[in-house]
Amino acid sequence: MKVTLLKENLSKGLNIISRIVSTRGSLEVLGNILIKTEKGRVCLSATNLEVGINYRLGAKVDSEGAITVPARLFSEFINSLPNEKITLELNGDTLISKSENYESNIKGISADEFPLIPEIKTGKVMDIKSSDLRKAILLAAFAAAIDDSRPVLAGVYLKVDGSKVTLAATDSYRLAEKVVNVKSGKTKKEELILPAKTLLELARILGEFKEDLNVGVYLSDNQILFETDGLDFISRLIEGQFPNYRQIIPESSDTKTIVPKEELLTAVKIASLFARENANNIKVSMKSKGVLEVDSGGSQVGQNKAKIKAHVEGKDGEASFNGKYIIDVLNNLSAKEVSFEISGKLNPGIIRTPNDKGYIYIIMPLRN
Amino acid sequence: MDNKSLWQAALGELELSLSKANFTTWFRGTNIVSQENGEVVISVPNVFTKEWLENKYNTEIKSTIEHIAGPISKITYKVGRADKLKMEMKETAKEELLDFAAADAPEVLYNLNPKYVFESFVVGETNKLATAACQSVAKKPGVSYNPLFVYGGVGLGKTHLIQAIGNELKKKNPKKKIEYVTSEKFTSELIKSIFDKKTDAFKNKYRKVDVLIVDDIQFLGGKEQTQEEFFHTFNALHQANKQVVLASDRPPKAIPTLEERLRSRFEWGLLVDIQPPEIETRIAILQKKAYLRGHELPLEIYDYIARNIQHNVRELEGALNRIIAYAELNNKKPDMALAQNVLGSLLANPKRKALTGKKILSSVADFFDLPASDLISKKRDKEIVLPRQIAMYLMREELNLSYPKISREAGKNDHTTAMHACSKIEKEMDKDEPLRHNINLIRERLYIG
Repeated sequence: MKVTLLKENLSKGLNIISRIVSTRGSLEVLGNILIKTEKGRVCLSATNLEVGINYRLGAKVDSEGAITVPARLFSEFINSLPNEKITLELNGDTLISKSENYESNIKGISADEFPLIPEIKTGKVMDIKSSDLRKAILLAAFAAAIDDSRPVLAGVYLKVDGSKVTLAATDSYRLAEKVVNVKSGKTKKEELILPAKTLLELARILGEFKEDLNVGVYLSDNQILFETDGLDFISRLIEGQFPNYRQIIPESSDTKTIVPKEELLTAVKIASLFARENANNIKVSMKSKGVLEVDSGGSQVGQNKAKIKAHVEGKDGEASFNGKYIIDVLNNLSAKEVSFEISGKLNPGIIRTPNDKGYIYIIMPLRN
Repeated sequence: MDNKSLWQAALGELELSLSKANFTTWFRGTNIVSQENGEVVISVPNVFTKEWLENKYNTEIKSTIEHIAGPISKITYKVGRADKLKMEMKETAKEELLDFAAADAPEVLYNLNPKYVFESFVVGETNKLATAACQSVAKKPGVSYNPLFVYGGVGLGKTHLIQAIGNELKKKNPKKKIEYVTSEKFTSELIKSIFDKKTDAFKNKYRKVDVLIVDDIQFLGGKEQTQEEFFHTFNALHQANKQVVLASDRPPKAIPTLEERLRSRFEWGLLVDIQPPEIETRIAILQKKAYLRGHELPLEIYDYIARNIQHNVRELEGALNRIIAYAELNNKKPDMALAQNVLGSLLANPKRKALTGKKILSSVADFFDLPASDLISKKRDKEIVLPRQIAMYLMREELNLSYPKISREAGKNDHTTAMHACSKIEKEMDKDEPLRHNINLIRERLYIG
């Protein structure tokens, strides 16, 4: 194999794929990335056996070949080089990288040892814009459960129905749902669950592309493929049935407040400092005279109270929530204003943004 | 034709021809789901494994299976585990209802294995006391022995017994809150609760149970905050006359870095131990297991297995399974020749053969951090004498060497030195628990290293 490529391009490719590399696998080759020539381009691949990724970049290919090299060493090496042309050449199982001033030999493992990344090119489900997909993931996936004790809840529910694509996640204490409209007419009706961690990784990768790309989504044999501009991102699905969460979304609320997002975020963050010992229990009171109060409640370290001017509709009301769950959603919303709705102490609270009808976030209240 | 046994036998063979990393990466979570008309279907956990097995190992897998079960036409690989899938569906059926209106009411879940009941436990001389104690606790929880501390080596039935208590109580009174955890799970839940700032929920969960059963308590050793939390939980339950049952692979005294206040509390109630079963019990266990699987083998086979596998009930069961599988797959009647043929390779442990007096000396010296030359020297310091005697005892027990030979190995001239050493260690072991534990540790190392 002999190829010449730009350091910039190679760096970008390595950034995209190298987070997928398995760090604790017992099989050495899983800690490597695969470099291979493919139709006049260079294809980089990595997998941790849950997710597989291929990324192709432009290069001058003088002779064909393939090799795997340790991901960490190779990407740190390439990232440290100045921006110039790099030539990669293979001598047996050793990869020789040459740039103007640097030459290095990296010992690799034969490409035959590398897991085969499955190819899925049938069963197209939909096309979606990368910006829409990324935003939907960021708004929903954080609400998924962190541990795997209930596998379904560690996933994000994805439903495609006509032009409507729904992403939802819940850890059984809070729930986030985002509905996106996709333009392309041809879609299949599908319901599936994807690992939340994997989706967040996909969102990160999509963020690496400057342009807004079209992402094709394919489904087959328990695997899902996201494909765009030289990138294949393949993940397993989570088996099982997602809980019927629609039933817990309240139809109406007693009290509704519209408040500047940053002010609410700051108030809850400060209250959380005082509520740490108290399971992060924070009381929110809405007064019809136009005030939203955030109160940490008393604990050993002291107490904190904040008042925010707000637009309040409906009757006075108060409820307690885990402050972390409020902070999580506010951190992910980009709107200037948010609406916060409650219905007494025992019913769930709702957070949305006034100008995005497709988003809803629901938090379970804490009983004191 | 049993899918599980066939696959186990095949994995056993494949393991020998592959590197460990390759084997664990590609064969973990695989199963045979069906074998019909010469077509074997193997389920694999993910599509990567599927591709790999299909493209790289297919010929090897096929020839291995053919070697065990006779010719087959082809193998297909399917993603997803049949049994797991079913379980998950059931679980989610329960989850269908998400109730956000109800606030933090941590529920106590049973996580007992319904298989573990007293009826399926084979009682023998060495576990009689432990069984009786557990049954008594199951009759009157919180009254008779509190806490009950069960200890014994791996694979002897501790988990079976303590879970049987839970299952028995649950049968009598389904409303009773019974919590079974391993100390490892207890620790990780505590860490998670600290991380999520929900320590109160954690405390409530464990302090409101009627019976708390903790397995593998020895892993609490060295975890200070977990020990403290467990201490408080223990006190709360004990004061309220709630039953606590603990299991460990060694007595409280022999758990290093266990806080004194916990140790004394563990010894408060009743300590019972389970020893490896003697030959009659081993035979009875084999008969029962075979019966539960719907088989009856000639007595001489039970005798053969029981004579050759002495320390671990799990291994005993494994050997039995192997014989039954082999007989079924080859359509033969299980007889002595078959048993010897199947287990021959298993029992002729090459490592055991390779064990020598020198190896024992160096392992013992290693364990006590002494140079091996000290053990065969004339030195008579206390620190050297005991390890030397342990080494001689082990040579007698493990290698069955003659006393004169042992003395020579240990650099002594007189065979009475070895006789004295062996009888002394034997006597001491009855009284001195840490010594017995140390010797067991050395013994394990002999066969691992």
